[in-house]
Amino acid sequence: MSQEIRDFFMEEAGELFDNLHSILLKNEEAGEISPEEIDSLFRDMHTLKGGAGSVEMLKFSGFTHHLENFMDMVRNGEIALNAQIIDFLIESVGTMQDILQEEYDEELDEAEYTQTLQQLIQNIEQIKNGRQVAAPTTEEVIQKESKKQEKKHIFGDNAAEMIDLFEELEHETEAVEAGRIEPADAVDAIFRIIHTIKGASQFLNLKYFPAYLHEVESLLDSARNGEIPYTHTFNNFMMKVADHAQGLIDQELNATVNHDNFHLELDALKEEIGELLFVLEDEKSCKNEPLAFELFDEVSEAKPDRESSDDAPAAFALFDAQTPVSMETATPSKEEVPAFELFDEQSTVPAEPKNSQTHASAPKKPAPKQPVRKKNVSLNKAAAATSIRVNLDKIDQLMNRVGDLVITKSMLFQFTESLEDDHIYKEIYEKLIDLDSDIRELQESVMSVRMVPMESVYSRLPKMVRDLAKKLDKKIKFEHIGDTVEIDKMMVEGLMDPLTHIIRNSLDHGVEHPDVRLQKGKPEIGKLIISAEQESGNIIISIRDDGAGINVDKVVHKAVENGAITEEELSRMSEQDKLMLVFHPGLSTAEHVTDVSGRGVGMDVVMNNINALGGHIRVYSKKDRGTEFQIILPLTLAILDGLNVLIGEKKFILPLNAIVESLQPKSHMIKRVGKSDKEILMLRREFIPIIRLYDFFNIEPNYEDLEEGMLIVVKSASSKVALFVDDFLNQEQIVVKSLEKNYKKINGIGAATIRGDGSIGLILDVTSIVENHKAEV
Amino acid sequence: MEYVVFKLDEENYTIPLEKIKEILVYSQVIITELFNEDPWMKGMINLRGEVIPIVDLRVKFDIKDVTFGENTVIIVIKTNENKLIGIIVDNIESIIELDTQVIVAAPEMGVSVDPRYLEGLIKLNNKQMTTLLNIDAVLRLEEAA
Repeated sequence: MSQEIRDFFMEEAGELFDNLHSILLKNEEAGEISPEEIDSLFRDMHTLKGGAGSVEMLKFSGFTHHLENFMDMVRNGEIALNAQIIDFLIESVGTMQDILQEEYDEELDEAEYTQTLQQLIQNIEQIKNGRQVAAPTTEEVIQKESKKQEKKHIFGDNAAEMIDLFEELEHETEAVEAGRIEPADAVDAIFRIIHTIKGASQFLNLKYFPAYLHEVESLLDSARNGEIPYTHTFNNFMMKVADHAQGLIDQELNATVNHDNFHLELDALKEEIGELLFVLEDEKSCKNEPLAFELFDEVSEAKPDRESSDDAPAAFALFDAQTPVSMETATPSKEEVPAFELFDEQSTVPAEPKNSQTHASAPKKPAPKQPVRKKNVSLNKAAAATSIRVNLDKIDQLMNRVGDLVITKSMLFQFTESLEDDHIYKEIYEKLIDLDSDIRELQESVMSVRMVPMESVYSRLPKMVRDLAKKLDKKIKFEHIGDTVEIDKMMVEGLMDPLTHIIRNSLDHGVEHPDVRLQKGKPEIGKLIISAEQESGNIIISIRDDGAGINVDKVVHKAVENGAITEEELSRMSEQDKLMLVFHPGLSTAEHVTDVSGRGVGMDVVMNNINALGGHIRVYSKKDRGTEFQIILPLTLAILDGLNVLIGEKKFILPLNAIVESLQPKSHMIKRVGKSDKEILMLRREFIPIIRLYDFFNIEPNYEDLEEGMLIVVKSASSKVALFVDDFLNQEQIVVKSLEKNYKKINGIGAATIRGDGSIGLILDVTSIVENHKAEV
Repeated sequence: MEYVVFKLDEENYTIPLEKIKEILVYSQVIITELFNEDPWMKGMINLRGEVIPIVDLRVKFDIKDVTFGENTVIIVIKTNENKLIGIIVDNIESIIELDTQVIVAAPEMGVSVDPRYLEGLIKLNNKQMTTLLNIDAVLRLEEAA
């Protein structure tokens, strides 16, 4: 099994889990879930099971199988939802996720898994029994239970194989349906699969199921021998048989099948086989004119009677509402019969046969009890048609090629400058301008492919908030705003950690316990709101709570005590500056700070993570009103606007989003601190440390006198610094390339880019420059 | 297996051909200098969109009087960490086909380069000896300075 496909599945599974969690959590409080959402839950579990089977993650597949069945019962109304059951589902989905990860990592403990699976089965059993009214005598129950348990145990062990076989069958029939395999070529394989399933089922001590499959097997045998043709119609029939057979196994394992209803079922099957044979005959007489593929496609999604909740086995919906249309195509010769009228849905009441052919398409027996196992194949297909999954590497490659184009373009621009003929220059220049705008558009299109909605970030949060609130014994209402705001997929991963950290802090230290809140005259339930919006090339993500707020005095006190700041520095700090101290590394390491001041653990890490994404973070807080963290991120990591600066003869690029302002200083603006040679720029009563970049990089500068060069004020994390450079040049859009891919981290340089002449340009990393500078001082 | 023999100053060195991704003519590439890095780290080049560091092996092997001539080439190596790193060498001597059995263990003494970088010695047809480099060890970036 190729790792790639597995990874692919894992990715898909992640999204499905996100969906599962979000539906369940949304409805947790209400204790009920809408039918659409129940369908969606069932579908997701089914997809997970199927996907896992196809990548040979059989333990996970086996586990999911039970939950899928459970959901199916919910869907059919056999089990009524309540808050407790939803809770059970939330826990179980969590367990599913654990099992998946363990199996993926190949760290799944066999014994533990079996135990978990047993537990799940027991739980499901308990829930189911909760609804059973007429309970048999205790002894019977125990006997039955133990027998059932035994069967289930065996089934648990063999589930994987069965599921595998059914998946295989599904795969085969779908291939036929999709036209990838000729029906006639598939019949052998399908026969073999059915035969194997039948064999395997006998090991499970199943009584009825093998008899059922036996009928199907005989039918296939005749097809295999060429007695009857294996056509698309037949194939469709097989797809339904497969679905139904799976349902039957479940029913039998749950002991909801008895002699009588099984024989009803078997008769129904035989009858349908008979009908199938007629149809096949019919097809033959129509010169094998192929039937429309959708002949027996179910449209039962639209059918209101679907949730019919009877346990009784279903007759196959062999002839469904769509049949008339297809029949019309199949039997164009019957002109005298108005096809629509004859086969209209209302005509389910047996119509008077008009000719000998009609029996073939005789409407099905009235089958009111009909929990048709619907697979929503059509739904998945519809989804597949509008979107495809692409590996991020491929998009990166595409991005790289566009990056190359950008570079080539700037080379061309540079080249035209050297043209002497004005006329030619003008002509080429105009064309280049066109090319330039095309490339820009291309760049934007490719970028947009990398963008994903914030929903993908949010979807993982509700569960976390819920679990945490439960653990902390707090009541939280979690809201998210801006689900559709788009963010670079590359940033999503980098963003999860900081977000998790902030939310954890807000829940732990921000939002108070319900009783405290009531004392303060606040609503019992705390609020946590995360929102995202796009603003002038940035994404602003805000996390607000209505908790106790940050106790600034305590933070400041601690900061001074720990020597993170001096009294003198403190005297110059604004309220905002003081708040920003929560990100100070000196504060966060002192553990007891959290007990008094509330925040701080690992907040410096949060800031570093955000900085690594090219963004920055702000915090606002009011006592007893709450706290807000604002994360400001660039839209993308791949391209940034940079300013070329000159140090000596060397050109560097400074990311534009770090720059606050630039100026040519006057001597009175520059102060020295004490006797040290530490220089400070005094700008509008603000004191900003100066870093001479030529010193930092050991480059021979053009100017050593600050008044002759330029100071560029940049912000990094919580502080501002002024970088001294010789001059600054033009501003340009650059494609960011990692240095670490082939080399390693370089002090003061964050990344590289490729310049117009094909050489490498170095992008300054303001954060690391500031940190290194601080370390030196 | 095939090996490439190249020259640094007066010495011959050998590396397996399969480690080599590409060979560039030194005079045709623009190297962007880095700062505060090891002296043997010459800088960065652009190889069709890839940013690749360039190591001056002569500096690394303490060879004095480093000059760049017409024959100076950059051999781009794919390391076992899957990084692309270029090394500057004086020129490429030859490509040879060798049985791995003719490789003898390097003596502890009397070899000009750091024994950590040595894989073994190879006797060439013209009776000359050449040093088989463990190029991954040479280019390991995290090593202590």
